[in-house]
Amino acid sequence: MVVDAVIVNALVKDYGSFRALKGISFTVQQGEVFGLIGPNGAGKTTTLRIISTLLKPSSGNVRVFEFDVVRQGKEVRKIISYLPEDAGAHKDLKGIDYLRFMARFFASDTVELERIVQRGIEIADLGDRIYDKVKAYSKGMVRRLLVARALMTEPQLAILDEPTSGLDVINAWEVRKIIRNFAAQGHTVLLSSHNMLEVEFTCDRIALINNGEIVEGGTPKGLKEKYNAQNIEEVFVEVVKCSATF
Amino acid sequence: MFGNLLKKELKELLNLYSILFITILAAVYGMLGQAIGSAEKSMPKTPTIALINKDNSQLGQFVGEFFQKSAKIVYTGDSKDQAMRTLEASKGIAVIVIPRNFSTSILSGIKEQLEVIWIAKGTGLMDNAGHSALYQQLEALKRVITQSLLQGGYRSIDPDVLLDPFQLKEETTIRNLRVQGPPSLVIGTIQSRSSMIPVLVLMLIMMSGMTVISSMGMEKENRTLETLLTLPVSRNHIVLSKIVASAVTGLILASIYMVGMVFYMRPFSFQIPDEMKQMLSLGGMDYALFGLSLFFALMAGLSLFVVLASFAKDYRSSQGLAFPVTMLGIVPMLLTMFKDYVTLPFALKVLVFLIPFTHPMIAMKELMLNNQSLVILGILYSAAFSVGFVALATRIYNSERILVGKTKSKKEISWPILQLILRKFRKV
Repeated sequence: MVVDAVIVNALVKDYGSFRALKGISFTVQQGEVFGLIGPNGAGKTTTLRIISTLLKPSSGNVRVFEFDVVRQGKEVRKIISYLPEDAGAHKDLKGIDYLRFMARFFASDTVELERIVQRGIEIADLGDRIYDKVKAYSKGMVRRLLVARALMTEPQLAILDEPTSGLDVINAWEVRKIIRNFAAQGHTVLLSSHNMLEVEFTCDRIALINNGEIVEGGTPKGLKEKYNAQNIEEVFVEVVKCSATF
Repeated sequence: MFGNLLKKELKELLNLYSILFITILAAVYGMLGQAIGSAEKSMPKTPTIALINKDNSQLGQFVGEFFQKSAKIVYTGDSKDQAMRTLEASKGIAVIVIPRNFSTSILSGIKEQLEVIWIAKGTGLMDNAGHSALYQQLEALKRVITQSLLQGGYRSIDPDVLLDPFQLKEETTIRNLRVQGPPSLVIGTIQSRSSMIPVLVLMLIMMSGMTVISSMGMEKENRTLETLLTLPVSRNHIVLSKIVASAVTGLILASIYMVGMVFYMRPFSFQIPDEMKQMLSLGGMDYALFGLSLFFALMAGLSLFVVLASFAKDYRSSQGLAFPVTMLGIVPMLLTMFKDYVTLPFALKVLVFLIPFTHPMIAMKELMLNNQSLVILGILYSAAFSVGFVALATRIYNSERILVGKTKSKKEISWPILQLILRKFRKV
């Protein structure tokens, strides 16, 4: 039976007089990697922040595993893990201490704490550098540490905002590999990206968002066939052209 | 090229906050100078005294006539208590008691004692300015007695007594406390034990405040706050952990600072008589009240800093936001240097009371003068202030303004005055 991990229904978000989301709807099924794809300023981060309980919708509703993000935010925060775009770690902590600090919010005892931290160390795969202070890390190392932090608690839903943003090819590939491995274990991932080529290889299903509206959705393969395109970038251009025509 | 670089550097360094800070500081100093100047001008040239003359003979009458000319005498009876009451009602400064044998003793070559019971209004620099006028008159009295004795042919009197016919036996009344000794010594003793407290409080508030506001600024700059807010932890705990950690840090730093200050102040108190030291000493309860006053003022300051930190975009902007709170500390510190809290005009009293940092600044002094009620009132006010601002901080951290930089709607923070402040801040 397919279970909906996330149900976004007619979601609207206004910042003053600016409408960032114009009534978007989509669902994420349990165990899939779902990608929210669109250019900068399309509304991806706003959507993820609402699902993560950081922002409140102006109208519409969002449910995460049956919990309403506005009324049951506390419950939602227990089962999700959110990785913001350009997030940082506390620079004066060592990598391992940062993982331990974060793990304490989720572990009920010391055995579980150590289990979570160990998983974090494995995901980050930083070798002995995990014992160095975060301020000594490169950007790619920090991102790997943060991805490890987000996934080590095995959340029911991992929300990753531009997980490979600003990373070089090797580091981006490493991070994508981590996400794929995590998803392969049956976990649900909702990620955003403006890199349309990378999501093709990472996501099971995608939704294309532009100017606060979902303009298309489906599997990468299905969308390419539908628009007779070589890649998702071409699909996006076609979709935007079509929506502009109407 | 140089001009381009210079323009950029000046733009960074000479920002609105730095100019505003120094302008307001200059205005505060200016206002204080004006207040001191006008207080000096309004000071009476003729001291108001009560005179109890127990000597009806030649010199006793001479002294009485001297003060009739040089001072405003509001009481001339025999009762010290009545004299004190009359003086307090007419804002007088001293009761002068001429002893029964004043003439006989001096004419016999024995130095006599003139009893002076001073009334000290407060311990501030401006509180007892009238005392010096009376001291000058007492010195003048000695000279005219000497002249009178020489003119009267009393040349056989011991020259030491002839030139310095009487000594002062001084007693000082300050509030409900009566202490043996001149007012300068009493005030000096109180000052030596409390003068550094306002500086200490200000430093403590600033150090702890900068810690908490920088911490918030860093969280925003390093983008760690967003992650924290999505963890399964209460937002109240996030706010409280920052406040308590900064308070503990501040108290540790202040304790280290205090150790140094105690060693610094020790040499200044060796001239104080033991009796006075004992009378002005504090008990365990007093120290507990002072500690509570300091703690709640610190909590109040930090909760205020946390609210302000929500305006910070990054570490640098957080530094500028510390300035309004620092100003709040400087105002009572400077004011209480010149005037005691209780001797301030009513409007200033209310204004200064509303600043929570005032209370530990005046607590030590008030406790020495047995005014525990004012200290307890200050503690209660600071505690209420802290609770209010922690609640406000929690509300802000529960709203999305912490991330998006503005409130979602007018309903979120409904207090109209606060909205006004927020609007002003946004404009800045």
